[in-house]
Amino acid sequence: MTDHNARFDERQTVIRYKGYMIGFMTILVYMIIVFFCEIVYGEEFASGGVIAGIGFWLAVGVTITYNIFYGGMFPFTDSGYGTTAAVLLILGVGSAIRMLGHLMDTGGNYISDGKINMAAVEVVGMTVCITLGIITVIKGIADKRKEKDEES
Amino acid sequence: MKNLKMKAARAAKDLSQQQLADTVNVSRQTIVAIEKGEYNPTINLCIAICKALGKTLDDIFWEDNLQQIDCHSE
Repeated sequence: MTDHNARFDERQTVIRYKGYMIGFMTILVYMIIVFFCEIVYGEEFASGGVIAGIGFWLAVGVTITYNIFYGGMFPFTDSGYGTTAAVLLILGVGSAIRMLGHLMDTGGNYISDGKINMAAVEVVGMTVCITLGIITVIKGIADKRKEKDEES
Repeated sequence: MKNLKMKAARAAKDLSQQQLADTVNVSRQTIVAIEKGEYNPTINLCIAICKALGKTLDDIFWEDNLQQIDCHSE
């Protein structure tokens, strides 16, 4: 049985640092896009919470995608891909329920009072979580197949 | 570039990737990545691997003469 230090070894540290860096760069690019949107559509095209929420989900999505594809492990994935996929899919379903709640409040519109509302944030969150959950399952199956070929 | 010298040394010691990984306290995936040339280990890990395989750093991680000449000529 491999211990915790062996699983989170130096290669994991490098992968995770790169993942965080790419996530951070995503936020920077996103903020530049938001800045130009404010110039084009005016300062009040979305509330601060909506802008922050979309940025959060994008950064988290990019970071986790990088980690999945480069074999990085988060603490909650320590027990395997199944746990990760389950957590992500539950978060995705949670976002979907919240999105429906917001849409019921706003009469099915993503724009209320001329601003993008929180339903848009939940759409992004739902899309990111469910996509990542599916990617995790596919990567997990692919890795198990590859593992048999690698061992010698 | 694949590290075939490390793979050969491991096979000569009759060690599996998992056994070598346990000896040097890293994951099996890290050993796989090093052998495939997808990851450059730190000097500490290189030394640990060499000790586990009973080889020197030159034996496992130094490039071939031809590659050295290429490097120097660039």
